[in-house]
Amino acid sequence: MASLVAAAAASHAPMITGAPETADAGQRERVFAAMAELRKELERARPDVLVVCSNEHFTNFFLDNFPPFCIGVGDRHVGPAEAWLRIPRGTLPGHPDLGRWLVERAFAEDFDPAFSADLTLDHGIMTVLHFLNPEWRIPVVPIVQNCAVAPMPSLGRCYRLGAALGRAIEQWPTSARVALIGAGGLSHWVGMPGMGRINVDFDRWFLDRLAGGRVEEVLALTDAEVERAGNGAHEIRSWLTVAGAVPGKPARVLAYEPIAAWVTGMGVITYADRPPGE
Amino acid sequence: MTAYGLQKAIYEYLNAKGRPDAPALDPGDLRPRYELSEPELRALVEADVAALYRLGVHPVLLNSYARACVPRDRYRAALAELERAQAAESGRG
Repeated sequence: MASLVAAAAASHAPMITGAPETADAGQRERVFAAMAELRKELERARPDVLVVCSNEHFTNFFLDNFPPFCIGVGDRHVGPAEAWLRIPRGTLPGHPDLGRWLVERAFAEDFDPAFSADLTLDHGIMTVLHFLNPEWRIPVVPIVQNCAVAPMPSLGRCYRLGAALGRAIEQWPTSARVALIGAGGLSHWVGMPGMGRINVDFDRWFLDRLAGGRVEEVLALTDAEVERAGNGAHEIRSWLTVAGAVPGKPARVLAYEPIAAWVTGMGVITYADRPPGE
Repeated sequence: MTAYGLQKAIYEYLNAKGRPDAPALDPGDLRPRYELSEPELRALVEADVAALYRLGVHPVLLNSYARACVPRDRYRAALAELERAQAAESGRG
């Protein structure tokens, strides 16, 4: 059977590649260092495929059809959507066998994700891959969740989908090594008054819950409570999906920096054990 | 759905942007195709962030449009001005 060899999550503020120089240098370097550490962890884990869970930004879907979840089953993906991201547009390898398997297993567990063989990847996934899989060698199965347009799937629903994805990966009848990455959040306001504000208290509370293995306290939040950290904070759903795949395991926080210039609370976590000797 | 046609126009414009066959923001074409009101058409063509927000464009879609079409400083200034206006309005309420 396949194995889930790594699980992690990181914020995906587009300025991290689109205008990194605007950040305070110390904060920027600490976030970059955390992403570099995550990349080393992935290299140690040697995944054959990355499942990257992010959120829809009106890149693939509009209000005429806005699925709560969509799993990418394409044999390739084009990205990034944004010309200003300073990441050259190109074609990444997909993994249709795993994508379809995840859809089938989700259906078997009473989830009904959409699927698409033609997802365009935007900053939500491309910024994180820029640091973790910069040459796009490792095939990617993208998953986009609705973290923007109400009504959204609940935090608990995303967590339980993550649990189903974790089981599906472990039941996949191959010897593949799979990594699961969440991308999005933490607190930020997008396209509305308040943009530039960061709710540090919320972000630290959230990270403390993940690090303490107390995710149920996060799952009890209402959307209104999440929104106190900005409309972009709904993207913590991607982190919770990852948490669901590794139930009970405490996260290790590699970085947290509230970067005003990037208008986002920037967090990086991993579920990998600390390497021996550190 | 509030401002559905306006949002559809933005979505389709952004998805076509960069393609050789990308449509220009031609007012004569946009208005009938998306059934836009005059204020919607003006806000769209002028990339007026504050007006688009007040007309009901979803913030995430507005963000994509602004990042693609509006200088960053102007975008942030428009949102800051909106915030000040909202604060003033709530103070009066």
